[in-house]
Amino acid sequence: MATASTGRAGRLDPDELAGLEEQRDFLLRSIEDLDSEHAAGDLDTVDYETLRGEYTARAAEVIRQIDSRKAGFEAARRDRNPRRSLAVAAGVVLFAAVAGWAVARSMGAREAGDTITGGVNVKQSASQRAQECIQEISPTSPSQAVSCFRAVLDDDPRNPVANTWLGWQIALTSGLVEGDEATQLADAAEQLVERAIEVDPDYSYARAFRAVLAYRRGDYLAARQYLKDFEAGNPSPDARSVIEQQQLGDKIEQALAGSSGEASTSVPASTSSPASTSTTAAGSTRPGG
Amino acid sequence: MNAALGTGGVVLGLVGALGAIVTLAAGIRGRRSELMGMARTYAFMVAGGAVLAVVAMERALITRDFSLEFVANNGSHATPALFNVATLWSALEGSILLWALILTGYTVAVALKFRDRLNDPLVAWAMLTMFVVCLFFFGLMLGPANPFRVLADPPLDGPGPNPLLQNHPLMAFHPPMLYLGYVGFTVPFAFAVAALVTGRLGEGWLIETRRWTMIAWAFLTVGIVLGAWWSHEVLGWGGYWAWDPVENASFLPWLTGTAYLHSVMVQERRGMLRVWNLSLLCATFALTILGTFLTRSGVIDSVHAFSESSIGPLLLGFFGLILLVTVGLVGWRGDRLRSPARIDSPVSREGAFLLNNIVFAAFAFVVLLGTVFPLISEALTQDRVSVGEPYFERMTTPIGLVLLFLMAVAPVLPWRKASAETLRTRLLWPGWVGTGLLAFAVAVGARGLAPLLAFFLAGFAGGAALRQLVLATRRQGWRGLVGRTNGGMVVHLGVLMIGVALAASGAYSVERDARMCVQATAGCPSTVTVRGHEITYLGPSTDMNAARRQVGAQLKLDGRVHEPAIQQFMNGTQQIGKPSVHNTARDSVLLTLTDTPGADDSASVKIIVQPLIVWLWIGGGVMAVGSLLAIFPGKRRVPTAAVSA
Repeated sequence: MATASTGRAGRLDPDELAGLEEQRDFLLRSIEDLDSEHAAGDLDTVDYETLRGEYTARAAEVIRQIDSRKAGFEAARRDRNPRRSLAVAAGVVLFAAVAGWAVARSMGAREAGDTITGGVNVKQSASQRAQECIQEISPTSPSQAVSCFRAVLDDDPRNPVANTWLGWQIALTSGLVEGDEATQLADAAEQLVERAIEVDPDYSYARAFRAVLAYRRGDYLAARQYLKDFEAGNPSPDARSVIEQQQLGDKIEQALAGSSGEASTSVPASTSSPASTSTTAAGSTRPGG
Repeated sequence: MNAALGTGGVVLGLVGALGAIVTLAAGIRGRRSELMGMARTYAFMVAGGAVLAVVAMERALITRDFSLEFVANNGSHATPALFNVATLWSALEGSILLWALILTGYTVAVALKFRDRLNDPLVAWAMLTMFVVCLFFFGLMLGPANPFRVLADPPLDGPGPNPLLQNHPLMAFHPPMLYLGYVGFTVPFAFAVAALVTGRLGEGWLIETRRWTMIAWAFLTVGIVLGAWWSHEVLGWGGYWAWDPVENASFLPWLTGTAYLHSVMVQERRGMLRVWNLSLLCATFALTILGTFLTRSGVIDSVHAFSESSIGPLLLGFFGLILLVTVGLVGWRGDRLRSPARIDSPVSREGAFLLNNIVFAAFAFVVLLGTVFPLISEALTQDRVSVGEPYFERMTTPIGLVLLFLMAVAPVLPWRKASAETLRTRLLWPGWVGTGLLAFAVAVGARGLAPLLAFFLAGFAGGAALRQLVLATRRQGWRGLVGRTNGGMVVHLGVLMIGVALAASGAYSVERDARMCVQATAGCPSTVTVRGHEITYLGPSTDMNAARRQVGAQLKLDGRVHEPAIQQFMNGTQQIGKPSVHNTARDSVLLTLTDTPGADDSASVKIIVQPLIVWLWIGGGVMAVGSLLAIFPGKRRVPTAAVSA
């Protein structure tokens, strides 16, 4: 039986079976056509019977061959060896268990920004970490940002980004308190910004904040000079936009002309926003300039 | 105008795909050749839609048409021309558009290749399946992944693509190569479905799709290697493969595709493994969709993953549909997939291929389990967990070694059964090559069980591949390099180069963090030496253009000046390192800044020296060449001739 139902090289060929099934369908359709043509009177009875007999005989032969091949496929069904099946199943389960154990051993909590598997283990630079701290800046609850910047400065005390923005956070906080405490905080903020400029004179934000802090202190001449220094230093677009949003130049000139009473130690409403503006900007565009 | 053109293209593609499905279904059902023959016209229509949409999007990107949301979110005036074009595949909607373009390209290619057989039900069903896949992707573009959404209030400029994606020209080529691979597997999948539906499950359809599978596999291979190269050149972490979920997503179909390329030979030769081969092909295609889900749905966090979108459930649903349909079809046709053939001896070519397939399947399972486990865990327990690199390293190292062993032994094995004498004769040469490589490695100072074993096995396998090529070229001249078997041996040589490079760089790399000063002071040297390479800090450097600001350090390495830097793209969201890599055949020195050089005359530099890294990329190239050789037809085998010697 196997010989009758197999194709080349003694193998079972599904293509041959499919071909025979196609032939069977064609022959059965042809018989239906003959029936309808005869019923319509297009075919005389003698021809009809001759042709129908031929088609039927061919269809029967094809169906016999189909049955033979199907029997071949059926005969190829393997008797399952329970021991082998069990061994294969045990092997699969064992391998899965080893893999599961290995997964469990290598699993850890996923922090924000971590990938679900593996991941590039790039050690962030102090500046990169400091830039992530910028997003924590808040005038009313400074503790998170301060501790974040302090952690960076513990590793790199001279880091210009951390010094600049920690200075700015402290300056924002100083605007919410009064008296000596405000003065002390403002001084501390300016010292941090100055330290940043000393390490990296090109860091635009440090120079921008130096101008803002001088204006807030009431030293308008210094603020004007710092602003000129800032402009001369080819500042980054982000830092420039902060200054432009504050209209700091106009305010300094107005203050110098004595036309405004804003030359006080209190934080002018508009200058309290650089941090929030920058923080917002930092959320989507971390400043680096 | 760009939006109108693009949307028109997408609608044209969608209508074309829908029309093709209806027409082909009617043609198949009614056995109407003229309807089935229309597949070619519809293929051109669908491809025309995709081309129109891509042209519209590229035009929008080049002309900075920020009225399109995609351009506003990913384009920028500051982005250089090459990366402006490549921005198309830098985000979700554009990458789906690229997918559709490539898919319709393959659809046209299949329609042209089989133009004389479009009325053959096998081809008609395959075309219908491809149009269903086209319909899904065009549907995505009219739904959640619409690249042509218009903004009522367009911005004047955009942020540009992710800085990491505009930092190296490789990024312009790596994704399209991957997509050519991913999408290419649609062709053999479509024929597999067609074979299952029509019941023509013999070897005919396999032979028809053999080259299509090889082409897709070759593109996927090149895409993965280019991705690793990009990672090494751009990310500056000293690695090239991190088992990142997106890397795993591309690796999974590669594993199952590689298994299939081997096991299909057993079916062609012995008529065995029919269910297995169909399952592998369907799994490969399903894994490309799963990979797309992983990378495009926002379900994972990685540099490749895009923001969350509603596309996820649709991709997952499509993945489920593929599984359901293929499992159903295989179950339905199970009765005619049987074969009376048996593996006569485990020590035979088919025995080795079977073992190879089991190992590849285990490899794929390990990677899949590690990749989806955190997602399943989070879905069930809400715990956010991560599976670390050690899991993948621990599990895949032994699997890799077993595969190296099989690469050495399988090519010399005859079909059906090998005698001890045959094995001794044929493995002698490769064994000496392996021993020679091992002795050389020990002589130059290599130590450690795993890397030394890898070197020996690589030499062993390399000897086997070279032996086969030498015998083939002796018999057939240069044609001995062409054809599936001999081209496959060239691919093996490429894999072995990669294997040796992986083992060497994984085991013998050195890394050093150094704070360097122009003028040496106590604790801050101006010159450091790492594994024989002398690095001197010359001073900081800055560079600024419309696109980015760059602060770097000039470092003299073995007499040549290199300039690793930290870049800030003007419209970008992050600072990124730009390492400098010095490659030689012996090792690579990667210099990367760990912080912006200060004005205090110092620079913090990470120096990584990795042996044999360049052989990863050369190995990838050899694999590509081998694939090309394997695609071309080799000398016809005389039926009575032995296929192994």
